[in-house]
Amino acid sequence: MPEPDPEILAVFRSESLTRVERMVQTLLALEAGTASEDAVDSLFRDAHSVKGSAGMMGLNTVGEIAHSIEEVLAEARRRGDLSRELTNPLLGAADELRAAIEATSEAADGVTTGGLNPGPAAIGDTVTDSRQFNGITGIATPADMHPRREIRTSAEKVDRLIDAVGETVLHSRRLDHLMNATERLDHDDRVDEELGRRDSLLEELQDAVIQLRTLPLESVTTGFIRAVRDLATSRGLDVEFSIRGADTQLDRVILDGIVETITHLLRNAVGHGIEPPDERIRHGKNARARIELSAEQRGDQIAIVVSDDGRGVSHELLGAVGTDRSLVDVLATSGFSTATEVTEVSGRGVGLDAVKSHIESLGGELQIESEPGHGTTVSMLIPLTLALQRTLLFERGGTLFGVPLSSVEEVVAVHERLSLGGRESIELRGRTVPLADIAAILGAGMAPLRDRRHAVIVASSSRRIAIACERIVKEDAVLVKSLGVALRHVVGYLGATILADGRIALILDPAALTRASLDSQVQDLRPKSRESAKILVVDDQFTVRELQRSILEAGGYRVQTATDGRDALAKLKSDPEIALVVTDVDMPELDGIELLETIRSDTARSTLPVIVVSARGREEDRQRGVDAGGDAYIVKGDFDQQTLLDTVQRLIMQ
Amino acid sequence: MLAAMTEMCLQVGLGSERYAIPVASVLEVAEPCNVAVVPGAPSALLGICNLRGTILPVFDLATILGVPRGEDGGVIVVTRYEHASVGLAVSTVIGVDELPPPSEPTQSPHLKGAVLHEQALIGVIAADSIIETVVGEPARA
Repeated sequence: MPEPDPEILAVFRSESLTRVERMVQTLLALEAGTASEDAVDSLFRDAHSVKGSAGMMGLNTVGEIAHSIEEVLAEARRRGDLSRELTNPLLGAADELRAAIEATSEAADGVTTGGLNPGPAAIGDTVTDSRQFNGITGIATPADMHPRREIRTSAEKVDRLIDAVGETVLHSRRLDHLMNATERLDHDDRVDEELGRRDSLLEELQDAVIQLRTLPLESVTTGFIRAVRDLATSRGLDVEFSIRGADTQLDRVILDGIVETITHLLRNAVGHGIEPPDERIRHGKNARARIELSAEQRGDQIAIVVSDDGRGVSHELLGAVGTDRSLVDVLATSGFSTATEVTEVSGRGVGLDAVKSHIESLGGELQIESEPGHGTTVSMLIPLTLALQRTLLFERGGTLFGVPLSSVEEVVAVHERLSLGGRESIELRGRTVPLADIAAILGAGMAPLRDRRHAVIVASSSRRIAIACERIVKEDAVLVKSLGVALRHVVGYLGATILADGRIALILDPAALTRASLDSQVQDLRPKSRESAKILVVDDQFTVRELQRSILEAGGYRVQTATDGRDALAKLKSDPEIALVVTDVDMPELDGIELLETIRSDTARSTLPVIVVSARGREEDRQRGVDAGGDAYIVKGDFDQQTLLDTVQRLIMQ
Repeated sequence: MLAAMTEMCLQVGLGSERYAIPVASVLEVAEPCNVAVVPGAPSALLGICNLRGTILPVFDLATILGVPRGEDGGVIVVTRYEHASVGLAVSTVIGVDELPPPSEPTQSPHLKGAVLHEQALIGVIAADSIIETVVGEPARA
């Protein structure tokens, strides 16, 4: 049979993945008892359709798996019900079907991939597989909801539209500014009316476009349900998992980045939060534990909360919390673990600081509350959109700065400055708040601050700091733009914005500001140069990269990361300091084996030590890694911190 | 004997010295602008500029090359860096010329070499690596 046309193949893949997704949701609903009457029929139809189209395309593996599922379902349909014992095997078969469908392509097609949900958590892996989604479509609706009308388009087209609208808004403000600045001889009502109309049209356009970027949380929740269910089942726990606010809209880019994080938190909750049923009963709790994921809009932020009624943190841990160290700080200290034994799921403790830094990189905040014996609540507060942000602008030494309004508690007039140990603070309603000059925080030489009459109280991660400034300018909704790749190492900023009058304001990072209030030497935000070796970590998954980064940085190494083989080659070329590479195998574009082969064939770098870290644990995979020239091969399932550090040390010493 | 390969370059002046940037790396030449200083950024960064609504970082080429700055023309040569643009501030822009391949040795790692052309010694800039080195620098005091 001739090779199917790649475009048709891409459509087959996305349609079939949608069907498999719907099947998984229906199976879970059947198990939970919430499925509609025609659930079994719907399952059968989906399996039957996938089998049919796979057959037409000559995709035998896919067809066979679909066929075996269809047979089981045909029997269930005849009998009129689906026995619960079949749920697990059918879920497993659906996973195999999904894998077989995805395997039908070698190159990921950026336009039509449809897999929005993280795949199942394989027990023994510390990281769940998650796919990046490129389309803006919501994936299959549950069998009992009305199908939404959807279209597929590329993310790039949507981004262009968003940028164009953003620029139009800015342009119209600049025009307004110019018009106000030049004197118009007569005041024309008609002009004013049109301008007013323009403003409301733009507002509507902007609103509609921002909506385009958002997706409801429920477009990714099936993966969460699976993750909790599979992990709880494997550990013999009884867990009721509920989701509240699944229709909450989140910026697509933020949603994309947060899926792995939420999965991680859920697995943590099951992995070390929930006690076995008999232990729960002994403590007077229900045998069935409850975990809830909720999402709601709070002002211009979205709050995503994972809460459980499990063990909570220990008393010892709570004891480490003080006035200047929140529970988040204690738990997020790299290398800290709350489990007394290291399990394959959690107990590494390195995950929470990756979560914290990821949330902060989105301009958000992580909060944790916990009561020993009663449970834990982890809250992520993230900005509603990465587009326009309400900001407070102020001036210091002739430079314009801004702070996201959501982090500003208040603005005060400074009357009296208190001093202790050379550090200043002000009194605010009976408590002291450290008072700092931005120049000191950023470690920069700036003109001395002459007039400290105002201070902006910035709050982040339960800490506050008063930033001295000369003049408050105004509050405004601005488009925060990144400082750019050239300045990616500069610490302390979320980005910059161009105001209506063309001037630039630097938008400060509240987390960096409040962190500075802790250091005894407030200057120390600059990247420190160390003599230690630099390692390149290559993996297409964010969580894995960050996990490996924390391990290596805790081991005293400097770390650079890359998202796939091609990115890795570019980084190797531009950075001669890289002394060792740790790479995954399965990555898009250039995979780990190809990367290894390319490194070995380049005379300048051919002896660079390379460690292959992969989920593939078969003997032939190891051999492939060794044959390609790898110096060591670590399987992700066997992964632990010490093995990686020992291997790195051994190879770097050579 | 290898055929000489000339390269189209933009010649710029830094004080009394002359440098050339391959035209393939140059996106445009912009007028001096009001840079907004970024406290905490590498010392070679003059600041950021508003270039028709986008943020353009502007580095001082004289600081990067370690040569004395002339009287500031402050003209900005906008060059390509990864998928974005970066501005290099120079004293003057002389013009576009076909230059012979760099034959004279140079000390600086930022130069591909130097060429003698019409009685002037011109340092040919390695545009790709020059920003990369600066970007990796720790922030200034």
